[in-house]
Amino acid sequence: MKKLIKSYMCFSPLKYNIIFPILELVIGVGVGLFIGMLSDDIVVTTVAIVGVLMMADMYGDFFVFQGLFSKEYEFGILRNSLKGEGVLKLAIIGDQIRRVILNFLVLLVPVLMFKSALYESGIVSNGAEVAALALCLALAEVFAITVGFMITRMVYNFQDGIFAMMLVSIISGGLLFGSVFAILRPGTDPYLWIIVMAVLSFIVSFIMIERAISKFRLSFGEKKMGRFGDDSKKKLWIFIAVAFVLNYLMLPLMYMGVKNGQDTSVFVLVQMFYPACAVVLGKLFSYNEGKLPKAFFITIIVTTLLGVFASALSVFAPQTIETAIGSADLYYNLMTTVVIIVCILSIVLLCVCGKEKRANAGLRFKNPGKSLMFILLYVALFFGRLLVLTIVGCAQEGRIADVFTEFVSMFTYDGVGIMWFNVFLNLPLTFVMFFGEEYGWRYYLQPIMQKKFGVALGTILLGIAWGVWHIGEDFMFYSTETGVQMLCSQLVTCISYAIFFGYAYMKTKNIWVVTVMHFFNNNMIMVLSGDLSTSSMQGAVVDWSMIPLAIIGFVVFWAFIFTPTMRGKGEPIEEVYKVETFSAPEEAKS
Amino acid sequence: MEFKSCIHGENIVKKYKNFELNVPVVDIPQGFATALIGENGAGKSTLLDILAGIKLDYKGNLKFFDKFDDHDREVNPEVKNRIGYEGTGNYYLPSWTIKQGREIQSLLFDNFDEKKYIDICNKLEVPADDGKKISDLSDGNNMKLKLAGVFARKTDVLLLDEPASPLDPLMRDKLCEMIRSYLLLDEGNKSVLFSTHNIADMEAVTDYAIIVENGNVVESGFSEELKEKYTVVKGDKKDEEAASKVLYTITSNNFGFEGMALTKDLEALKGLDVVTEMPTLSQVCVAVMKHNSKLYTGSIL
Repeated sequence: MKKLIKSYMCFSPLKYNIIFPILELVIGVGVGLFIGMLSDDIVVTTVAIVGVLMMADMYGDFFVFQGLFSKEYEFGILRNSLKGEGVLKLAIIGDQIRRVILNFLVLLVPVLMFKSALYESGIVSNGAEVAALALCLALAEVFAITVGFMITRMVYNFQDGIFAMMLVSIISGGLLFGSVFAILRPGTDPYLWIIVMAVLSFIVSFIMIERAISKFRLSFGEKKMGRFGDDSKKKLWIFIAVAFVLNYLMLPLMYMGVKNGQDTSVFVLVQMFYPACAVVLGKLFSYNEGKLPKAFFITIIVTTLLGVFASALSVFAPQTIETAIGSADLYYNLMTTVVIIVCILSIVLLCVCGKEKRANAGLRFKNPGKSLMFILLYVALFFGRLLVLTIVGCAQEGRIADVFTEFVSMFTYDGVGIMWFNVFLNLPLTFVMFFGEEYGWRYYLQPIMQKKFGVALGTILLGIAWGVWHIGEDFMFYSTETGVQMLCSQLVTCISYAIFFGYAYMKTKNIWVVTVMHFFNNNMIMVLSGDLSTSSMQGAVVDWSMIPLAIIGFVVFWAFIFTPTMRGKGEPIEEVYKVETFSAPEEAKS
Repeated sequence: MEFKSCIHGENIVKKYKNFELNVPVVDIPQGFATALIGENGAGKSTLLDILAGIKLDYKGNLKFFDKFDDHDREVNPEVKNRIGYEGTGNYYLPSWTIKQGREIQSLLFDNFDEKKYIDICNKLEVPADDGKKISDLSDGNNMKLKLAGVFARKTDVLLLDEPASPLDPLMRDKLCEMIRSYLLLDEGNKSVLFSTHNIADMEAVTDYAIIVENGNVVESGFSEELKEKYTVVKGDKKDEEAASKVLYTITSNNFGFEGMALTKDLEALKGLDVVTEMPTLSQVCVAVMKHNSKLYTGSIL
């Protein structure tokens, strides 16, 4: 904390921290009184005050921060110490905190001034909510100003003074007024808005810090800081934040949807993109990755963002449409269309990006022979497992002679051909969803877990993490009554698949193999149930007695934990996960 | 002369658009003051930046204090803290005040001795605690602040980029004395590397010289060795043509010529009417630079 304040003070003159608050306060109160007298509308008055405060704040920031971000100064002194980048980061964090505190204190004045009007209009109902309102307005201002400054910095050199300021005003003003109008509605929930605005401010602050650091490095004539930078920790945090925290943050929304009796399939679909999006963001924000297939990565990010919006909308503004298989959720159908487009786009983007970029991102289609063998092995094991389950099921009912007819009947009902056709058609049109999960689990998290905990234990822990990640679906989608049992069965499935998929990935080093396997697993459920819609996966009732059965079915998959590779006796892990390097043609010439 | 090297570099390559630094091998002897001498734009600052870790985008192997490599320097505070670097250009943020400059240094460097800093500043007659902006100081005072900062740290090797250029003659003398006393602090273990394009001013403090030209190390050695390696040769007009075949560099005037020869080549001058004498270090440096320079060496006017 002391370090934070010290770092911040090193970059900000004291007058900026004393004179500006006073100035803002005076302007804010003055404008507030003036407009308050002219207008009866509390919303208009507040918006005007917030806007004026923002302008004052912004000009202050411009004069202080122009030194930090406007030009690419070579701060040799910061580079001279290992703490340099940390101090720069802390200074920016300190400034963001200063902004929140200052904005809160300054906004408290007008909000208190119009307290009675706010009560009357039904925006707030007690003192705590008034304070909360001021805080979320303050956070909204931080969010708006940060985005404005950031975008302007990308477009303009800040020395262009007046034009840069105009751009900042337009961007920040638009965002700020949008958020203020959204917040100041009768019956609004200030506490919810605090969370929303805090998350938004946090995200944009993170991006701003990353940009400042990258500018700082660039100022020393370095395109990439490949040699000495270690970004693995940062990547891990981004992964946890997006793959897990975002996933869990969506659960309350999903819960609301379930409560309202809406179709929540879109949540389950979009969830599959979070792991890949997490890896992609981590890769884009780190410095030692080499050339990356950026177009493909950005496609993944945009798809995830669209998905999050669609999920939120499906709860807040539910819409249904009529389709060939009955009425369905509009947003789910929209997202499936998006997925198809993204799949086709991805195939094109990945084909044209070149093998170096594919290798750096771990997306190459390697070892085709082995890959095909593993997929066939998986299909065989899948049917084997099905056979075992049928045998056990029939044995329990005492009609062991019917095993064969029972087994065959699963694939010979009327219209099964269409189902199979669908499965194969779906592969090129939906693979990106399954890739979305596998890229996170197998490509990114598996090596980390295996290096940390050893190959076998790491794989099993990965399976547990993967299973727990499904917790929302277990309680609200796959099963609504028997969530705990469903979770346990999910854990069994995930650990078993973590072992087999993990083994297959280590052997083939090909992410597409596990993607196909994952695809096959999910799509076979549709063939087996004879139902194309997602309803076949929903609302199952899982009895405790089914869990031992599930374990028996997966025994063969567990056996792979005893292979030399999984016991850490095969190729060393560093070799398994090594990124291929391609010598650049220019260097070869020289 | 045998020596232990404090920083050892091999195959250092750094490419720019119009310039390439390519140093097959460079050694900074431990316990001595080393001068990095070269023309403007010869690659002195680039080499210093690479050794100090200011520029990280290069190829090559570095070894610090006999056991650490450049990766250790960037992750191990024990190595980075032992290297004191003073740079030119935007070393400080332009909007910083003198006071902030002091505070940021105590924040950045674990071994920064604030008392010593203030003491050095007082002795050099620059304010250490002032609300005045650093960018408003004169170049000389700015350099004094930087020097105070780097001498106030507990370091084992100093890398100084053009410390003498903005200083007045008196202050240059003072700087030489400061470097001498720094080397004496822990005898045999402290080293200094400074770059300069004006060797005459720093000759008194130079133990070892590295001459850089066109991104290459063209000559290096202890100053006594260099002075023995080269000999100044003077002679009359009539011998100029014969001598020019042997001499390393030659300048002619109305009465005769003056030039530098490698001492081992002096045999070849036997029979000619020439005077030989021992050169100063700056004469050696100028001769070596002249010999390797891309600049037009004849008369310009």
